[in-house]
Amino acid sequence: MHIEVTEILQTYADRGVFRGFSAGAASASKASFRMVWHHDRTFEMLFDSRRRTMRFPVVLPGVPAGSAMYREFREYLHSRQASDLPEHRRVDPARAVLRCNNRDGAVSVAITSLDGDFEYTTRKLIHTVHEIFLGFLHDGPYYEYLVEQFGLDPDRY
Amino acid sequence: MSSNDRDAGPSRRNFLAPVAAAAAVAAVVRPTNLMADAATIPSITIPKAITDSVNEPSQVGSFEGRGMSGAEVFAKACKEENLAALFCCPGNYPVINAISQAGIPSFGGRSEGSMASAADGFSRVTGEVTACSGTEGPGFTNMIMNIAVAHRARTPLLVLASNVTIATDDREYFIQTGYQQPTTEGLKKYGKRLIAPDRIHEYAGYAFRHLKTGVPGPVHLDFPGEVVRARFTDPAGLKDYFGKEKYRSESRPYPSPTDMKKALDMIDKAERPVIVAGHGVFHRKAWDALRLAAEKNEFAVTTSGPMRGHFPDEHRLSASMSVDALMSADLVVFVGQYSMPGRNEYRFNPDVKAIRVNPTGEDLGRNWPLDLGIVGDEAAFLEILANDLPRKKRDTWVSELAAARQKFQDTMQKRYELGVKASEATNTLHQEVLCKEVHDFLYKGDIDPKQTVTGWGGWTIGNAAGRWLRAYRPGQEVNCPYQYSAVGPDLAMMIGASAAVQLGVGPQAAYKGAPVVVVTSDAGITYSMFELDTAAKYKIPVVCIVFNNNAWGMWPSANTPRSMHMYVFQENLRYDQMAQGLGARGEYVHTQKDFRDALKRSYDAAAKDRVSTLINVQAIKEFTAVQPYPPGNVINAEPGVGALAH
Repeated sequence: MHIEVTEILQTYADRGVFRGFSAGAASASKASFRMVWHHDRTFEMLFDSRRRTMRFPVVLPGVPAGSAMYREFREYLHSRQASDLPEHRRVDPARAVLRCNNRDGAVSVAITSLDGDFEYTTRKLIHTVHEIFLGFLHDGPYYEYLVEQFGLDPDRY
Repeated sequence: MSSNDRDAGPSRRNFLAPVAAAAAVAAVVRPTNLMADAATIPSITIPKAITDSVNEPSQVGSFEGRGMSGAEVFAKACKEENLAALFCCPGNYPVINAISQAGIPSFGGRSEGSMASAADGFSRVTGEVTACSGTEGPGFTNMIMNIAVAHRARTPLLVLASNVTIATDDREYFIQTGYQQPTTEGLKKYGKRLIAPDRIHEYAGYAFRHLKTGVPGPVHLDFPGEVVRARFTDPAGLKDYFGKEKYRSESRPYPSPTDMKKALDMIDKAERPVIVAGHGVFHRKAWDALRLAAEKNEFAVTTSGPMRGHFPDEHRLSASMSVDALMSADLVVFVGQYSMPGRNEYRFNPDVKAIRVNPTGEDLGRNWPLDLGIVGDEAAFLEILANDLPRKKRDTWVSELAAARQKFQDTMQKRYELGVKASEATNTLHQEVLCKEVHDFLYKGDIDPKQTVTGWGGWTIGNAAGRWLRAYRPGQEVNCPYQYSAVGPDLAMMIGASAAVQLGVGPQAAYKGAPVVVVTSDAGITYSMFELDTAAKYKIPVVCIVFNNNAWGMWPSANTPRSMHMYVFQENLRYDQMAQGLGARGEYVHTQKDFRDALKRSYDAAAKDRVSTLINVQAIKEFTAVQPYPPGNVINAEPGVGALAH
């Protein structure tokens, strides 16, 4: 299963989605991955096959749990499983569950497979995080957040 | 009119007829609100020296009699290559004099940099090769930022500059000496200091070969005195003195049948294909083939590049406003996209397959790993698609595009409503309100929506204007900050664009004489505002809307206690009054209703009297921030309307 997930992630590196990628230490049921992705940040992804879960521990840093931004983010994540999204865009709630968590302002995003199809969950998690950066953060009132947390420079955004 | 004029299509002489007529009745522009007694201060006038000289008959040099100077040999080559226009400041005298004398539309302005951007703007709305010129040293270096802007836009811009003499090279003799070619390193496609007088025609060939072949880009020639002042009474005095049909070719790379078979198969099998039509589609005038192919196979199209309109925004297959649907695409085909984004800069999903078509091979695979790279001419590629793709219906995909377009428009409307609240709360005009008013005036009122060429720049206002302005036909919209994101060339660029519209060059022919509108910022206008004098003297009508928020749009980056003073200006500066001092009309507004009325008056003046107007729209810098006046500055998704990075 690790190998399957690794291979899928490697295809994203080969497609230029990640500008850097490596698989870290792995045990029988757990594996970790590092990828250089949006805003040239290094993201960590954890895979727990026993729990059928993949997780990015930090997708959005510096988001207070009680903030409007976190509330809107939870709504956004929920909308990714809504039935009005086209099939190719949504995470099918019969096959996987998307969740987020906030620990001291660090927002994590996780997906749990319900049917054991790890290719599906891997791709859906990558798509979801990708859309968080190109959709949720871009379309919402988060310009200043991007400046503060991701060093967005108006001269080279 | 000389035979040369008749052969050249729209001539500068014809174009300036209204100037002549104006001079005949001692044209007088009367600025209002002059501070001093009008009786003691002469009015601004267009002098006879302008109208007389532009109406002199043109004449291309010949070997007869005194023969030709090197400059005249070069001008003759430019004429034979149909150089569309020259924008310059005095300096490089033999060359600019010879080019103007040869009958090439020539315009003299107030700063070399702005003239380079005017030439860039002319080219962006026509696809034609244009030239700019300045004197050696300061005139040349004044153009650097603007050459860089043109370079990033891949504009076929011929940059000309004098450069003292070979005899005084390296001696720090007198003034203005300097090495030019190293200065434009990285900012040009080709460059050369001409040192052999007998090779001047040969190097004109080098220049046009680069300007008209492959991926366009600026060419920079610098001319020492010995070269431009040499005289030639016999063709034998010139090396390689033969015509353009010998020194360059119109041949284009035809995509390989093997590649095309793969591409056709990939497009046909895709469920949600999108073509990103870059500026190569415009330069190769391939918009009809693009539309035919899209309608036949029902793939989506979005445009990119420094000009827009090669696929109409209102078309049901346009994805330029269907931002959210782009993420659904399963195949993207880049055609003539000369400046490639990184993989995560465009709003496509991580699994989208990619084809890229480029006239040369060395750039294929840069930034965006490809499933298929094709070396081929954009027009040829699209013609093959139009011929060989099967007729197909993609109803689900078309519906998704429509839904995303509606979502985009709903979002725009909400932002506008927030802008109205902010405007009413501050008694100034929010950027969303300003831009919607321009949108409604140009596209929802009495004016043919296809008529008006627009351009936009600035930060807070530029992002908003990019979202609200539309392109319904080729060359209708100029993305002034494209790729290089320079603040400042906007007005100059659009004066150049307007010159092209007044002449009716290329895709502007059907709208010859129409006004041009530019939306820009108070930070940006200062770089080229003096070119309102140039617009006035040549009767080039531009409606220039200045969003005056008293600050650089980047003021939120002032994040230390001692930094804000570097980001803000005096408040309530009157750019409208400055414009009046330059012979243009000036309007000052701070409410939605006043702006609506001022825009109509200004457009009418431009259309009827060929008079330019600067509308100073008072705003406040806080409109850039989300709080307290949402939505604040919104960065546009790429690709699509308002995309400026790629």
